[in-house]
Amino acid sequence: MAAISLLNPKAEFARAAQALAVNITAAKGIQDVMKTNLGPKGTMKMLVSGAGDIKITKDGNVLLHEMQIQHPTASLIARASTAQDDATGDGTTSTVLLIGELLKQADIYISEGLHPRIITEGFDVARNKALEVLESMKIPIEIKRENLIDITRTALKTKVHPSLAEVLTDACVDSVLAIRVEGKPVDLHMVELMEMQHKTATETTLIKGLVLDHGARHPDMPKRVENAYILTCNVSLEYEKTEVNSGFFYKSAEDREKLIAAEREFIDQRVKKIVALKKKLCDGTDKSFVVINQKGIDPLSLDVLAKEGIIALRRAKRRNMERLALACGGIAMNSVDDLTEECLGYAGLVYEHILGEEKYTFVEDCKNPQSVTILIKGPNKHTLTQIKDAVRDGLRAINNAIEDKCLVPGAAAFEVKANNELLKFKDTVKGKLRLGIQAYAEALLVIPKTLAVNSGYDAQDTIVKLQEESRLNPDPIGLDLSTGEAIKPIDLGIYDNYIVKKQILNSCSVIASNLLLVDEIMRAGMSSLKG
Amino acid sequence: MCTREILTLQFGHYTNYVGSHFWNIQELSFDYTGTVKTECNHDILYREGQSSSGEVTYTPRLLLADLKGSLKTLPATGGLEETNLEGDFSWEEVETIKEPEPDKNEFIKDINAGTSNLQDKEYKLEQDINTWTDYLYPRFHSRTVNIIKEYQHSSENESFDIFTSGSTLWKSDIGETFADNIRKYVEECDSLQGFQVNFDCTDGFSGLALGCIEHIGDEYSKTILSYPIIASHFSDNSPSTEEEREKSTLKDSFRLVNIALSIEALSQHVKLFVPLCTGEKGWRKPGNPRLFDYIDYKPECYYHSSALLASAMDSLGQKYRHKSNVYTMSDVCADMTGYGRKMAAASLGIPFTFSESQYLIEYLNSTTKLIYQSITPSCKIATDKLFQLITVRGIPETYLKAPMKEAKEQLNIPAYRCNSVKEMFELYFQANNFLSATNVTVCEKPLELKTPYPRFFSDRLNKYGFINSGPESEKVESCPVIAGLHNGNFMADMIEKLHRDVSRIKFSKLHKFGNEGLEYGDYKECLDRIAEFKDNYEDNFEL
Repeated sequence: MAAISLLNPKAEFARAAQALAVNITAAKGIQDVMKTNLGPKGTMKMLVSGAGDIKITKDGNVLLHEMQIQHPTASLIARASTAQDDATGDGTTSTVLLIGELLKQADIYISEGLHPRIITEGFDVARNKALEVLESMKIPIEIKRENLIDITRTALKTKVHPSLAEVLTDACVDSVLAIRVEGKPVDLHMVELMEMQHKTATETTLIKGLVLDHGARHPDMPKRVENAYILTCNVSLEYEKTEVNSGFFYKSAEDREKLIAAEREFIDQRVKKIVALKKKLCDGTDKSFVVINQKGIDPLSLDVLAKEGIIALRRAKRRNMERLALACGGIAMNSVDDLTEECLGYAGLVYEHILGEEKYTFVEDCKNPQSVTILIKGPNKHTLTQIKDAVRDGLRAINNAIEDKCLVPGAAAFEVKANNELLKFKDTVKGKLRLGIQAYAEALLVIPKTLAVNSGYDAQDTIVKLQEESRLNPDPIGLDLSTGEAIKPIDLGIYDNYIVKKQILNSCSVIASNLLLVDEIMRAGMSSLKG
Repeated sequence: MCTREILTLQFGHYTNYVGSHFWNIQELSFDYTGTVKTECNHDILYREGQSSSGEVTYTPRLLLADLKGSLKTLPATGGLEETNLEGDFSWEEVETIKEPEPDKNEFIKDINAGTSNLQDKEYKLEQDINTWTDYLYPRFHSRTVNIIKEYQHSSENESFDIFTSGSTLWKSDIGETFADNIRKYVEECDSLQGFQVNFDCTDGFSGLALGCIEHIGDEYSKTILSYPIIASHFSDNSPSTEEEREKSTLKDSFRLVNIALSIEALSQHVKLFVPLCTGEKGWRKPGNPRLFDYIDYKPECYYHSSALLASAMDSLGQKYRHKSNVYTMSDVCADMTGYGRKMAAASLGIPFTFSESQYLIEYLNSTTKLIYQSITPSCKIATDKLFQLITVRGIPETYLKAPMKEAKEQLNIPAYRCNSVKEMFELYFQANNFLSATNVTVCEKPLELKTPYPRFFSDRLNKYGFINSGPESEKVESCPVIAGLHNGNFMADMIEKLHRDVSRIKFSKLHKFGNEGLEYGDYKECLDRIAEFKDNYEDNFEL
């Protein structure tokens, strides 16, 4: 009887083998769900809610968020995978697969009587060795377009349709290169993702400038201007009534109207200052003027601005203020008191696009944009979401590569190589520890196996081929998904992020070890212990 | 005159129950014939737009949040947009995972089928309602519904019952999307008057709502009026075994702490807030239901109790939604919140009724009971030293007093010189409330009780909600309502009680809060601030 039952007779518990079985079953379960999604040939999953909401995805992280995971062990694995996504943006499906496989392999030995502790120690040693192998496979790169294209394509092909992946790859790489400043970390927030439910997904493009999701709110404002000064500001141009205890003290509406007129004067002054600047700079030239305000602009102020031919946008996104300054130049102003030409940005073209009730304003042809927009198009909501998720991951992959300054060969080349090296290494280790290493080496093969199965090849055939080739050839050997034969991934430009692989190795080993060492699962007492 | 828009935000399951009724009341009062004189400017709460297929839509200016699995039959896109399934690519293999379709009750089926005789049909909604979408009449704009995927609705494993988990959630992606949706709505408005934020203050939604309130406070210098809401009943309220009792106590403590944290944060960030609950106590179990004459409702039925709160909200809102545009939300808030007394109490009289053979003057003269009932938990509305805003709706001028010839003893009542409902109520409050300032708004139109409003009225009421003198029973179609906001030093008792009750909980029992990042120092400070907040209500009353 477990000790807990002395304290709390109602506690539910599972011990030793039973506890392990619970964990392993859960890990296998979640592995089975995710397995079919791995790699460019993995299937998509379409999730349909009861009310008919649709989500189509093959991104491991997205799936894990959508699925209702009840089992505590499975949700632990799911969290490890989410953490993987937070850290690197890729490798979520691999994480789930690897944890599941590590437990499966360990189970074989444990059922033969090996103590889980030995296995986990073996895992530890094997992981360190695998990290060494990974280190040795690193390919240093220069930050050049060609190099980044390869890594991005590999990452995106596992998330979206190949023809779409090509389009997105270019957009992602060009955007990161545009905003990158030598010697500074890349701020991915400076790539705005704007969705437009319109046309088709392959029309997703990079706009070297900004796209705002709102337009001018006055019918007389121009819809398109060229050669525009851009004033970005955070100044309220709407009248806010001061508070009076009107309910008790004021009887008529007229009394208050008078007060309002007096107070409006204050706002009018601000508008006049902007108009004055516009007159000074633009009148008599072919230049035009655009005001983009973070605060509100009321109809009266809009009217004054429209009469001067100024385009005015209100309630811009807070983050867009920063982006505008980077894209067009100029400074975001907090007051209109000392406006000069230097405060203003420049855009060659500003125009409005209307889709149903949504308006978009394009600010393009900027001189040296350090903030750009990826304009995501798609015929329906779920396509847009799918592309948006993919683009985020693509950008992360590029950023990882820039930070690592290196890549590793993809197409499961690392896993095959590591398996090979680990098996060699195993022979140099004494004692039962080697069983753990053996298990680890076998587990790594789940990646090439799954890739092969998902592409319609026989797992064993493929593995044997790859292992043989890898033993003969010192170069990294990967799996060609279109032929099922061994290839050199470097020739085909298939690369993975170094940091992703590293993170997978680390987190999977830790989680798997933890789960293996659990010898008692209890569920007792207050509900607050659960969540 | 221009429309001064309001953006409504709803957080939480029970709040959405209330919200469903609220929007039902709005939408069912629309007049499509153009013959009825409406007093209420619907453009304040609604927006005109266009769906992607080019149809004109008129949808609530509303954002709501609920947990995954609470929507049942309502698509997260709001139900107006048709989902277009065609993509660019034909995927060779798509694995479809389909949740079973939830059962639609008869009411929802009829709405979807476009049946026009909704009002004549009898529905058994009490049994058919499992969630707020089951009786929701309007359809929403595609940005309205925000689903929190991190937590599952009514899940035992991971419950969303902690203020701090809500605050954390606000800082994540969902908060960002939500804030962006707010911005889009605000951008459309020419002169927003403010935000109305209704939320469940007993669970994690409190933290989420407060995160949002803080954000809108920072971003937009607009009035925020908030209704923290406590549900009328919780499933663990009547424990039978020892274990359940323990669980229930713990959950009650959580709820109480959430309420306290919400009230404290509200006192910092909003203009005016009014806690609502149909139970008498609100915390440590909602308590006995507040009783309304001629209404028989079950507190464990959210569908019933939420209808009462929605009616109150609708009536209170008449003041700043009136076509005449005299009041705005900021006026209402400024009127109520002198001396930093940001919390006010609400009251409701539904139906505000008297015998159909009686006149208002006789009723007000003879009644000894309060004509309204407090719907703020643990709060008894005092009769003197008050600031109050009262809304009365649905009393026809013909019911005011008898004509001169038949007046008889009515002539002896001083109120006989009053010539309108408004004047008479003003006089009534002047006489009954010592040292008080009262502002009365009168609306001609009563509260319309169209299906799916619950049929919980006594059969002694006639069609218009007055007491039937004859034996025949009629279906009630509308009823007069009185609702009010009240503020005064009586509120100190409620805060005092809250502070006392919450101080009894040992912080060490709240380890779940601790896990989510609430520190003892902050918690202590928060309690102290509640005590300080109470001081605003102490006796420095002057007019």
